[in-house]
Amino acid sequence: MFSLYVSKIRVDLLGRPFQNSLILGVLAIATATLTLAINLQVLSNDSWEKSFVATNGAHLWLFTPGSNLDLATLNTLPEVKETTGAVPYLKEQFLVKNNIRYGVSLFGFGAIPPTVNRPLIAEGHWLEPNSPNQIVLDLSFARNLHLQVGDQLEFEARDKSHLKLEVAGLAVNTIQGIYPDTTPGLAYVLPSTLDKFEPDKSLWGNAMGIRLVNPNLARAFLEQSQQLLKSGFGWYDIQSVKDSIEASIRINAIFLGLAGGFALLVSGFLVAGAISSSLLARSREIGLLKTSGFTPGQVLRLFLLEYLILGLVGSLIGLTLGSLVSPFFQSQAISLLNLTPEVTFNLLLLSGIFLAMEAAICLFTMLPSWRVARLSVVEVLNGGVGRVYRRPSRLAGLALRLKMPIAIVTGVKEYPPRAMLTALSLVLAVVTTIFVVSTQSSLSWLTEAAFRGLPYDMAIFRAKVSDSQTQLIIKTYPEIENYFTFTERPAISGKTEIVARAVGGDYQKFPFSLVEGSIFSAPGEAVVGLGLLDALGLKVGDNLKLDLIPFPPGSPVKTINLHISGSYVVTNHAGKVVIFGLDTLKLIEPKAEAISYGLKLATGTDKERLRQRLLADSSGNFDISLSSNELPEQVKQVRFLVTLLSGILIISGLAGLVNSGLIRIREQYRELGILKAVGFTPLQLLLSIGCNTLLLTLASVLVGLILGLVVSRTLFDILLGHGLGLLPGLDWLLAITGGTLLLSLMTAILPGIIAARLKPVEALRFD
Amino acid sequence: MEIAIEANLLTKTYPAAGKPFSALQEINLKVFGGEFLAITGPSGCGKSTLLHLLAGLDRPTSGQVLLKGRRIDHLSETELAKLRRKEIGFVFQFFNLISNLSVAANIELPALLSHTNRLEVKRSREKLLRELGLADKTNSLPSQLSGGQQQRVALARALVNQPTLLLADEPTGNLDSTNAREVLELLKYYHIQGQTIVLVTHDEKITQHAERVIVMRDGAIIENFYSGKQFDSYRKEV
Repeated sequence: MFSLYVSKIRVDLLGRPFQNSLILGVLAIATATLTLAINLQVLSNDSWEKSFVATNGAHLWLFTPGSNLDLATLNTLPEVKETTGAVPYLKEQFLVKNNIRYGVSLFGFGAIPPTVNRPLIAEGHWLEPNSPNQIVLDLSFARNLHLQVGDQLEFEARDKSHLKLEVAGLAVNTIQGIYPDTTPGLAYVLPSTLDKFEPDKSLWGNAMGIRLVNPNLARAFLEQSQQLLKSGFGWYDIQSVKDSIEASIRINAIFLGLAGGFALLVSGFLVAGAISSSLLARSREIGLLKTSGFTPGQVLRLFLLEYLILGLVGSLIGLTLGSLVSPFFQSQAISLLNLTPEVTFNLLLLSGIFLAMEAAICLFTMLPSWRVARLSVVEVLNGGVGRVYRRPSRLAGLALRLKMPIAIVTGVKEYPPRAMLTALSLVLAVVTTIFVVSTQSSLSWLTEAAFRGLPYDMAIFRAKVSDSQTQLIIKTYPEIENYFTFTERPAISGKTEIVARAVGGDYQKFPFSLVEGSIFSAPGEAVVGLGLLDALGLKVGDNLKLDLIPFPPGSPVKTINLHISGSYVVTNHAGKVVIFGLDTLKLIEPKAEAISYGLKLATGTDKERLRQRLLADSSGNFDISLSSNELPEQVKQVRFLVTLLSGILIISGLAGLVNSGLIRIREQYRELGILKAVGFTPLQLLLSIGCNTLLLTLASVLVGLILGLVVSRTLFDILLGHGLGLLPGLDWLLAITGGTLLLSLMTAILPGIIAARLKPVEALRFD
Repeated sequence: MEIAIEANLLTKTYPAAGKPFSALQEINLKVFGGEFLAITGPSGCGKSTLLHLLAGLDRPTSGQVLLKGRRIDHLSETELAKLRRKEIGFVFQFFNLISNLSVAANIELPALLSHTNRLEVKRSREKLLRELGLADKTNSLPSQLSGGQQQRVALARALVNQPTLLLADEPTGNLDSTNAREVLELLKYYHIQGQTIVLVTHDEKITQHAERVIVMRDGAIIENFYSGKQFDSYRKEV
């Protein structure tokens, strides 16, 4: 019996090269999509925890502004499991690139990095001993500024002298959040390099990362440390970093996870559609096998073996393809998710995917073949499970009544239920496309400078110039149409760290993007970032009590009570920003002055030239930054990845459509022969097939559009806040509909040509 | 009398391993307008192949087919399709109706393809259904009809354009004797109305309904005679 199976399978596999190649192709695409989807899912799942474990992250960081405090004495406490040791650092040094200064904190790690919070190298290498000209950059900082290993970077020291350092490597760490959501950027140098920036060691800071025996007792440990050190120090626990990183990567992780999830479903539908259609088209063959004495069980085993062999080859091709493509997606996702760079070839995962594919093939082979094998021989030979119509096609009737050409009338027939699998994969592809388009436009909208809480064209930070002098200088420039003033204070509410921004001047003339409520109009009123509202569980109309972090440390804490008059979207500092009038700040700090100035420039102003003139007027004492509407690199990357994945899904959906079309040609071979015999021209047959495909696509696209809009709206409401995010306009919906219909018509060309070229005599003889 | 269709030295050869298989060998045949011709012979003798070539459903290896004096064997696929829908009606052994279209839509199909006025198509269809005794089955599906009824619908579809030639390939081969008799009576009825008919059958009894009979064997015509009264005189001529 086994040899009979072997010879029959051999004949089937070699004797039907076209159909088998088609199924093989679909299985390979489905497996590749599945491999990619699962790889992305695995990456985006619990990415923070993975990074924290891989870096052996610290539960607590302590900072002292000067180097006079010996943090290392804390090592002796029994609650301490291990520490980074005291690490010297310099805050707010400046990297100069294209005449723009970017703030960066430099950590003086040794040539052997600490075991706690050890930076994990993504590219290049760690700092070499005796190489004070090397620097290792935080991966998110480097990606955002397009910096690469080997680049020569220019830094500005406190005394305005310039230093050159070479990028030795890029590293991932969990010391702080992702740049630019968390600023300044982060970089590691040897302690000897810090000397070059600031020879006066008393001006260095000291930091220490601590892993605690019981991380839940961090607060008690802090109090104990304060008593031991008998002096003030800054601190933050890992929860705030985790919150910040998770806020930054949340949208990326969800977008990638969703795209992966869609891909997973599409691959399932592809496999189910391809195999069940192919098997049902072979129902007459099953009847003949039964006539020759095959039992239903033997028929089942025969087809199972045959499709498992096809599945084996298809899955291996798909796994290879998926494994080749995945590293590209993974390496992009690493910086998007602030992951550790260890992406390894996961044999267990690949084996799992292979087994899942073979299981799916088993299921989708067993169901239809068992269904056919159970029918009586006569039933099968007289048409098998071909559709028995119980009423005339309503669509065809409608087309007739509408006096459509007869070729269209014959094309507009209802699809059999199994074609719904193809339709579903197409629906998913359209849903993904809508989601991608919504994401694209929403991300652009959300990252507009005004929306990011930077409603100005240029900002001045005055260093050694007085407020009045700065305003005098600004007023001499006619191209500066308006300006508002602001100053920031680090603040805290409960355990949540907040940036408090006091605003003065003509701020009403600037496009602060309010989501709800109104801008502050009286002292004590404030507008709050959505991230902060979420974090504190507040809403517009509530009150907010804010403690300004004392400076210098040890001075008394000042508290402001604010009434929330409105909310706005701000993407930096994880949205944990509150803005209020300078007059409000003056209630507790009567001498408070603006330190920064947001400028609105006349259209067509040469910003770089203006910047140079302002610098000259201030004798180089202004720090000037330009706000840009350009998308942050991170956003560009996630857009690119999701778009690419959506493209793959659409191709998969269309592959299913071609497959379904070809299988249907085979099923309708005899009917096409009849049409040709009664006088259909090749062109009319092509039209009939095209119309048939178009109908399925149109139905799928309509369902996909509605579902896509609902899914996108719901996800944006959850991810961004109620009513935020942009859904595609009518132009986009029409373009998606038109594009998908056009592509599906193209997929109908091959089946259509086969139909148009068939010989009626052969078709009428076809069983 | 005008010649409806004519075959000159018609040959059809199929490629086969070793020696090509010759299905038809230099067939010469004339069918006159209004004639009822039956082609008979054992299975595999080439009678269906000949019918397919006359209908333009297949192309000859060599030789000519002329419909009302016009060569049709070298026409393009599109030209052949247009010719089939207007000039040739075809009835198959297995009815070959479109399963998801109603009886009415199946019958109207060739007429609508020929861009005949829809009102006229409806009138023709209603007339044919009345004649064929199917007036109450207009909206039924093929699967809801008996074999005999399905074949009558197929006959109506073949006649709706009032073709020059009605070709029938074993039209009773899939029917019981009662239904077979009914279909043959209908063919005779349309023949009396002036319809030219060429019928292929392996059943000698059915040939008695035709005016003229051709007997084929191994791809060649071996007998050509008039049945009934004409039989003896014609046989002597051959």
